[in-house]
Amino acid sequence: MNNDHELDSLIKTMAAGHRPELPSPGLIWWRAQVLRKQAEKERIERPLTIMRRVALGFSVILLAGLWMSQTDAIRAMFGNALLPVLPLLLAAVVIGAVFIGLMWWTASEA
Amino acid sequence: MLTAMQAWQMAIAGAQTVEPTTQAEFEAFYLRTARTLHGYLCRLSTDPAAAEEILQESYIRMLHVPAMEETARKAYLFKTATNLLRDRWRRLKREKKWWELTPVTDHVHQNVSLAMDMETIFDALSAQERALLWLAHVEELSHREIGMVLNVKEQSVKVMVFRAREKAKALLEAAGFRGPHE
Repeated sequence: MNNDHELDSLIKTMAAGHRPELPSPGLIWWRAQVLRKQAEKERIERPLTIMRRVALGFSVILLAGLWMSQTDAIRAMFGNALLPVLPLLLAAVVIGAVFIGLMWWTASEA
Repeated sequence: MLTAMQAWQMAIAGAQTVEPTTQAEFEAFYLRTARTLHGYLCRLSTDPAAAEEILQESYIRMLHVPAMEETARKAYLFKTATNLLRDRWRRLKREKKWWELTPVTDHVHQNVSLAMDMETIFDALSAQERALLWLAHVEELSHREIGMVLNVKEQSVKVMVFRAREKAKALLEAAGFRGPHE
């Protein structure tokens, strides 16, 4: 076996014998269009997503700052009776978190 | 039309498609190339399901880069497919096995009834040798294009293709094939 042409012919015959069932070009075109639109949507919404994250971070910092600066005032208002209202405060925080989470989820689903 | 290199640079830079491929153009190109690309992927991966998945992904990626001339587009397609296949293997932590696959030649030597089975001979080559032979003989790409597809220097491709041919011929001979002229 010294002939390159024979090898070439054998490889080409092997390749010609490969007759698979391929997906239709229309399906691939459609998938590409869907992915392109999805990428476009993500690109457009990227500033909004960033702003949403910044707003959330800012709110958390603001809340923590307010809590820390107003600790004395809160103590003065409730005195030693802070413990009974603690569950109420915790419930408010949980409800707030759930609300923010729901908003986030709805926005990402849309 | 852009050259492959320009289109790849634009794709890497995230540029928008300047000259989009129309659906009719794509379908015609797909019908011309899909069968051999699938064959190439099947020969390299020996996994038809993975081959089909990578085939679809390669065409989708090709549609997201600016239109190129036919040969450049074909080279881009094969390069993308090869890279996707390599990434897949890397994920499966089998890349080393793929590129440095030791040829399984024993059964070829021992079984003369398989002498004419080119697929068996092909499978006895390493994945890189299979890729080289397929791209050179079936796709008839130039050494430069093969180099681009396989990430190998153009000068090295000539030597690598020669060695792969010699190895394939030796395997064929060892399996009893003498050819019609001998």
